[in-house]
Amino acid sequence: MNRDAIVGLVCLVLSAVLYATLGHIEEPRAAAFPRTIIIAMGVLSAMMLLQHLLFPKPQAKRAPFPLLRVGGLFVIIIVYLAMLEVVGFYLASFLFFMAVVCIMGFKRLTTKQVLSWLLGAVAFTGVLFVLFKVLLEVQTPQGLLI
Amino acid sequence: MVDFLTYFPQALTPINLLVLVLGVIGGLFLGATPGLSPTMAVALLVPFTFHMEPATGLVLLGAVYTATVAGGAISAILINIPGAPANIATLLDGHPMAKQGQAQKALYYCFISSLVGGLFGMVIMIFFTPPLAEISMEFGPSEMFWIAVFGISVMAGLTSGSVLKGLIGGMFGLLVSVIGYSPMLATPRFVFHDVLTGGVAIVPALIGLFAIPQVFSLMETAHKVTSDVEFKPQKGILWKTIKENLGHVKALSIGSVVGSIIGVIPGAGGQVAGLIAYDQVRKFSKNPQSFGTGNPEGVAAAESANNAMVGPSLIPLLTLSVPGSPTAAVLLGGLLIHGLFPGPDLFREHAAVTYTFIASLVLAQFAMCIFGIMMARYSHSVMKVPDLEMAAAVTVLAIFGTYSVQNSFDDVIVMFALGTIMYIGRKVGFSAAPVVLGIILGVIAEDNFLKGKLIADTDVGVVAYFFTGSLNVIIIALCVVSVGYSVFSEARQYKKAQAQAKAKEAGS
Amino acid sequence: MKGKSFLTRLAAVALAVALMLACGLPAMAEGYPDKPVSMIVTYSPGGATDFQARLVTMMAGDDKYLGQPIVIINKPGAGGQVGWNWFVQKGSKDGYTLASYNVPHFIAQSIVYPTKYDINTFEPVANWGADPAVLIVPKDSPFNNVKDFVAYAKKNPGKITLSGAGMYVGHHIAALQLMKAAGIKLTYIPEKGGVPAMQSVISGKVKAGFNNLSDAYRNQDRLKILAIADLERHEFLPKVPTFKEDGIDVDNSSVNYRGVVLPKGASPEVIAKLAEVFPKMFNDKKVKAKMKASGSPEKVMTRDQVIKMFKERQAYLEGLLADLKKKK
Repeated sequence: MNRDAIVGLVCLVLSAVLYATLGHIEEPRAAAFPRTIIIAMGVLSAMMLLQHLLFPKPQAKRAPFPLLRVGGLFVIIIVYLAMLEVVGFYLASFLFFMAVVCIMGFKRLTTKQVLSWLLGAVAFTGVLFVLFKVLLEVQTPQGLLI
Repeated sequence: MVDFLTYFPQALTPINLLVLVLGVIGGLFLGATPGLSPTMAVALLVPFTFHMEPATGLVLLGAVYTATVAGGAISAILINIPGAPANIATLLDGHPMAKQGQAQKALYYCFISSLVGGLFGMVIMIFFTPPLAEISMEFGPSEMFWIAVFGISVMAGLTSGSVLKGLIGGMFGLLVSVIGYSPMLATPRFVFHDVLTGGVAIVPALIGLFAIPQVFSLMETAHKVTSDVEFKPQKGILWKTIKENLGHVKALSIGSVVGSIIGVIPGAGGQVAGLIAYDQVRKFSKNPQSFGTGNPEGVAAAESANNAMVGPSLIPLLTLSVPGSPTAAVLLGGLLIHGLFPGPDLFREHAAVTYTFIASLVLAQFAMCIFGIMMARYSHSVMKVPDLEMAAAVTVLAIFGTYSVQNSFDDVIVMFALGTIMYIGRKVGFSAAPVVLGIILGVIAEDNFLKGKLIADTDVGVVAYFFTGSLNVIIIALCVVSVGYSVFSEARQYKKAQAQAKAKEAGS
Repeated sequence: MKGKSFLTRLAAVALAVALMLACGLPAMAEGYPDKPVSMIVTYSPGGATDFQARLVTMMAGDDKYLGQPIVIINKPGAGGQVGWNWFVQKGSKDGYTLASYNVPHFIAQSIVYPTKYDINTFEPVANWGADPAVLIVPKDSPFNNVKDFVAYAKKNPGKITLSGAGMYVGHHIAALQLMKAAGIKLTYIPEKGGVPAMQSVISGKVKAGFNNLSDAYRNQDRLKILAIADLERHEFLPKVPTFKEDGIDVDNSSVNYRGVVLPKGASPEVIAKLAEVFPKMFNDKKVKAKMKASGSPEKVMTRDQVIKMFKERQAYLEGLLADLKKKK
């Protein structure tokens, strides 16, 4: 079974699961549209599954997935999101920027590089702060600090 | 027209010109910031116009509106994140061009095409406002429903790859649009978690679907010292590009006409103008495969359509106080603050202010093009930002832009979750464009169908209501042609590919 | 580029930077409010409620009033339910989060739907506007007055389509009242706001509609306005009769009152301060002029008057909506 067939199967299962949850919509008129879409999605998924089962195309070899790098960033973003409403948007963003470049770019860590990153992070969040907070009064997540 | 010329000089006062230029420059920057949509930018500036002369205030809003629509293309081309839903079609070819070291050319294309489309739209607006206002009133529930169906038929063509994946992605988008309270019946649907009660708003979805996968992709390659492409300013290409760009008559005219038509339809939202124009230009092209790989024609079509939409979208607004796009809705507030009620009075009693506003929109098109081209000269420096720093900065902007739409942390969570799903989806061959199209069109389709059915039940019955009437029939015919053509060209390409494969086998 | 206030802010930036350098920390002002106050508007930007909310709060930054600006935050969805639910559940209770209200919308919703809010979860501050619902028909409609309309509806039950801004908003209440009082059956078409509802009527896609007086007033060249759902005729449209004049018992229960509330739990000092300042701010000459210029009918009411009005509406709507089961 090639990858696209698996994708078709996953979409088919998803459609079935969503169809099963339709019962939570109390008003029948409100359920009509989602039902139609889910059925259409199911049919399309089944077509895709069949297409790739019956006429499999040769698969190109894929590069290994850089799980560590992508996963690392994912974790840092989650921490950033959790921090936003605690310390406030601007400080959290500054810390996030530094965390990403220092952790993900640890191979490049030198004093000079860190200093230039620091400067960049301050300039970036500083410009955002002056432009949006002070001049345009855009609301951002607020915390104990800014 | 005479009125327009009479009042034109009023737009040229020093203060108005200054406001115009500053508004355009500011608008280009705001538009280029990923996550800040034109609607947001105009909404942010409306309060500032409280303290201004009515004409000056409107000049500012008009300039910002025009410039942010074009500015959204900058981030689309340079970092693969559209500034607004309107710019999705721009990135399909604009970003590949930038990656090949042609960012500057892509941006020139974008601003020149914007100018062409924008002027076309303004001319339409100045000459044909009364008849087009009549037509725009003809769009009722049944017509709007078919417009949405037509938009859905475009989805299939938006993935460079499998048509089925494009459609499945579109269905996913349509389902996402349903989350939250049903707009007409106020019934909660698919609210699996508290954060979903407000539904999925378009701008957070757009940011999530484009920015987050881009951030993760940047991270995949951030450790390599990459790119054999050198990003340096392309000197002396301006005149050549202008000539080349204006030579794409077909792409520009299709873009301008499609954009103008969609602008007139109230509530369709110019958000889909670019995508529909892009799809049409590709269908009429001799080598549709080159679209999506950095074909400048794609940029020309998308951007001319986006800006052609601006003028006509003001027709229903100024004559009937029905805004043709979300941004026009915010502009309406700007008009009302100064006691300018849209309607026939606007052109009679407040002719001076109204025509100054329209004149400033025309001038803003030129200013946008000139300053845009000046900014494009520095575009290579954005391309030079290392992937790591870019990924971090884009994440910050994505969260900022999402939160500031309605000050909702829930939206940020929804944005990030959708983005993560899209990243996985992109890995297995799905694209974000049909999903966004689905989210935009789902609401229009469902709402108008239910409304149409309610009306039809008291009258002629559902079938007669949806399938008769000249506009309905025209739009249905367009849908059929569009789908039919997709199937036809798919089959033709399949045959071509097979023939090539056979020839290859025979040759080797 | 944005006139005086922009320059003022630039100066403020410079000053703030200087202060921070001088003291190491920004100085904290004393007393409430010492930072901008946010106000939740439960409808999208550009709508009548949003637009008026921005107008009536534009003077808040003046030292005569709050001395701090009010920042409008739009949380639209489900006819206002999303915003109000968020407001009572997640909004801060320290006085820095206000919300705009629309009566009868939120009261009717709290009766019919399992909402998190009702009149007891809000602390009224003041009311700024009152927009009665008017019955409108397209220009070329055969109906010239309410009598024609009712007579036709009696003969053709359910055949008249009637648009309004959504479910259980003022327009819907007016429609329910009209059906009950005249003994007729209409097909109510809920739209996504007053503007699309108005458009449906002008273009003849529906046979009639209830809409805001202010919007109908602006579009009167392209409509026929049959009657107003209020106790008296309105100064904007002196020729339009009330339903009562035609012998149909539709009172002012559907009038759309707009105003400001705090969440339950706000401190008495904050409530007292805002309840004192807001009516004055709404009566400011500049605000009044802008409201009038934009055709928005103003009606300033104090906290006590609003509390009384809430209670009256609650009692009436419970009766009107008694048949609709509460799902709480």
